[in-house]
Amino acid sequence: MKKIKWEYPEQIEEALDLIRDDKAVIHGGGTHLTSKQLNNGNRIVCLDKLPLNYVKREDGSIKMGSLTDYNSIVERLNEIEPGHILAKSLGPAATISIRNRITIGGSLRLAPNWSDLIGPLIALEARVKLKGANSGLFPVKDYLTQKELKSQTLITEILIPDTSWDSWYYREGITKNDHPGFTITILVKRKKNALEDIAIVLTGHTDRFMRLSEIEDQLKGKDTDQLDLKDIAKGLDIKFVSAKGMSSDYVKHLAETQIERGLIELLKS
Amino acid sequence: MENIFYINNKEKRMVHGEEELLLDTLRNYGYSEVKRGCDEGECGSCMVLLNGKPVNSCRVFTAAIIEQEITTVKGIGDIHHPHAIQEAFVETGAVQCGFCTPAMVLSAYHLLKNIPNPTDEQIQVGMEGVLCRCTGYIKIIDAVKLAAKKMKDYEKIS
Repeated sequence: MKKIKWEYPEQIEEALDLIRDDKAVIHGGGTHLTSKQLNNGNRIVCLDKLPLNYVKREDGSIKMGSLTDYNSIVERLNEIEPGHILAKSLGPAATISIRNRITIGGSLRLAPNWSDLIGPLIALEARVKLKGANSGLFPVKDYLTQKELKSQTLITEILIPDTSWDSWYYREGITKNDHPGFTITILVKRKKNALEDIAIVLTGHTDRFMRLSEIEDQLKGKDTDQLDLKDIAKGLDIKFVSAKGMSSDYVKHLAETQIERGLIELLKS
Repeated sequence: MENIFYINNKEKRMVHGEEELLLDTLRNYGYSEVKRGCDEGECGSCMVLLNGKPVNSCRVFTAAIIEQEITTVKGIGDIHHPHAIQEAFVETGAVQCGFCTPAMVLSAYHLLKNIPNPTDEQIQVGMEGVLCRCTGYIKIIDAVKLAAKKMKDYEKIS
């Protein structure tokens, strides 16, 4: 059997040297990698000892170290702002044992279609700090769409604006492992009855994630008492794949219905 | 690879493969209380506490956790010196086939350490990582409530 070497860098620079090897497999502490995937590499770079496990408020942002696990993020965000959208979305993700292993950086790097992380990060206009071949601070949206940003590069931090939103999160569990078939994130800011700002993000469709700007524009600045939300999301230009006995049109219908429901709960309650 | 781990408060040197999973390593070394269920991180039967937190050992590479603390159910109590949680599981009839019980007991231990008087909802959330195909969960929830009472009465938690 092939010998694979495990490396345990303690400093980011040391880790960056190791991942320059194209055959290096990065182990970010989560649950995604399989033994077979480890065998495809020459070496495994285990990031566990890097000082990237934290959630802190700084310079108008909430900064999350990329090796922070989901449960720690939920716990800390609930201290910072009870009911934070990321705590709502990550708190019920998978199970307690899995959430103790999944790291936010690993989850962003993989960004599977069933992720409970991506919708809220897009809605919050989160940024990601990268070190390595593509060092810098990038919108999460760019990181998810520009493959070249991932090569020989580590995520070290994820930043979200430290501002308060009313929020609503929905996950449709329609796949065999109860992963979300799609997710909906809605954030609103109101001043009395005026809807000052809104972000709506739908994930899980063939474009992976989408900010529903047309609906946002229809609603922004309006008096919430005067809003007619009936069928507000009908006719979305989005395609889903069929899932477990449900046609793509039916999944789309479910998503449209849930968006309307979320807006009613947030704006009419 | 040969590495040191701290299992049930004892230093343990174990030889394991580079791509070996913690579940396999523990069972190879006789920790048969760690059960192999689905091998996919779904059923929770292979749960251990890693540095005090529940994880599925079928989803953890042994090489990724060298020199860390692992607790199996025998680390909190055994047949000669059962923990209050283990007593409660027996007294409420929460054990049927027993396959999920080590993981259920560890889940309850972690829950009660953090929330000594949990509500029903907190118990359901705290125990969510382990599936039981026998009991329907009612007696398991009863067992956790009884364990909370016993632990409060005897202050057994260390």
